[in-house]
Amino acid sequence: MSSSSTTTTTTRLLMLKASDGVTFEVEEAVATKLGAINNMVEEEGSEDLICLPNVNGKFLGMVLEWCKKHANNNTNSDKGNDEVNKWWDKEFVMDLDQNTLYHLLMAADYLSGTELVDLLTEKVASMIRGKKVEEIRETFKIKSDFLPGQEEEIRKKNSWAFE
Amino acid sequence: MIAEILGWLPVRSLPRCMRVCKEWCSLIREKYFISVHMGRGAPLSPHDEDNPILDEDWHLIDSFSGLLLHQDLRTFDIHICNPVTRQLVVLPDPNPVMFKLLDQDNSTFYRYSALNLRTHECKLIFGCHTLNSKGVLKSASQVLSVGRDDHWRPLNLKALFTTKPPRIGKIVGRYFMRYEGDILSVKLVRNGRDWDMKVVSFNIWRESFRVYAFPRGTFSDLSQNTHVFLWDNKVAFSKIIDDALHVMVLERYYEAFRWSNSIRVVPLRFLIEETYTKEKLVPVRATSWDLWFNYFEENIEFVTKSKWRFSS
Repeated sequence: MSSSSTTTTTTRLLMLKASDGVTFEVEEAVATKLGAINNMVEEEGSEDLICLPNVNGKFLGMVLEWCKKHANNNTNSDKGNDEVNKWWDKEFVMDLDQNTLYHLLMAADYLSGTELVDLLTEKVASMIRGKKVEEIRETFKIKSDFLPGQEEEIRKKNSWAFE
Repeated sequence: MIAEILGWLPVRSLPRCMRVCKEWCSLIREKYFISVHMGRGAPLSPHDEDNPILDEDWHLIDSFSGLLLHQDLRTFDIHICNPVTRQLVVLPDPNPVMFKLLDQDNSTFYRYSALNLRTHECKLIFGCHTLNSKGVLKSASQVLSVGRDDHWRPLNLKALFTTKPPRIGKIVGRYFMRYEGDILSVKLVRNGRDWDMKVVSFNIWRESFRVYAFPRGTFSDLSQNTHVFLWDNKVAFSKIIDDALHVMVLERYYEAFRWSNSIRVVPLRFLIEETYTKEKLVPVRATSWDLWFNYFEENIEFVTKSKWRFSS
């Protein structure tokens, strides 16, 4: 990315530094899509360099890619753009592997990117949908900690859902 | 974070998730999770093939507390259906004789359905009323306590719908409201230069009436700019005096109601900033945060800066 912009004077640029030292130069309007950064900008005001020790460069890059798309499309809000955003979001989460999804979700949550968290949690939920109990455990590497009979009791109480 | 994820799932998937591990099981039962899930509000899809809501042969009469009351158009049976669990309860037929004496074309029909989430009691009321040529109210209604009554029982709700003023005078304003298990009838009465307001409540669970007289002298003149609306679902009686809204609410008091101890004064800053015809400014509903007015054809939302409530 090139250094400071010469075309406009109103767009402020922020430097975001990830845990592994990778830095990103982004427009303020893009970065403030993230609640955490918005707070820092509002509180501290003058600082242009923001260190984010809990996010790795790879995932910060992905989060910012999402922000950029949504910040641009929000400036002229019409219904067509809404559709475009939805398609873009769909593509964005389509091929994410579970490991990337996990780290991206943690990054989005840490940075308070509420809409992105919604998008990602919905994606995770879609991986649970329609799966059997055993399959859910396998997917998320969860061990059952129920005592013998307890699980059966829950099943009985909610038998309407298992028919 | 798990709550945020599971909150996207339809209700039918949740019992399965409860069997995954103890943590998920207790999380799904928590109030926080329930609020997340309800906020997402994934509705039953009309495209879901075995969704009982949109069956063509059923006529939806009412919905309450997540249950549906509908009529089978082939057999005319009335059912209560839980669309999530797909459980169905067939109800006894309402008694048609009760309505026969009334001029059905000019009648007002009503129904009240209620489920008590504490006792799991479920009651239905069907009724109608009409005015005869002499202006006298004729009414008929019946009640069914689901699972307890074998037949619909006749019920007298005349006290709610009567057009007669409480003593002498003329009814100039009437409002009907539902507040949980109570049906409220509010009447604004004028007797010469004197004004009064009466509230009659009917409690569905106890099947009993109560009358609440508006404390006299609360507002010096009820003839102008007085309105009744719902405030956080409570009956609120208001009057705009100068640049403020003065409000009294009928609040829950044990199993019944009572008028709030004090008048709440809400300064309406927009009345100072802009000129409004106060007579046309009608409060329509309010929550702890905001107040909605009708003004000619417009809706005005007035957001209060800090949360405020009636102290009881």
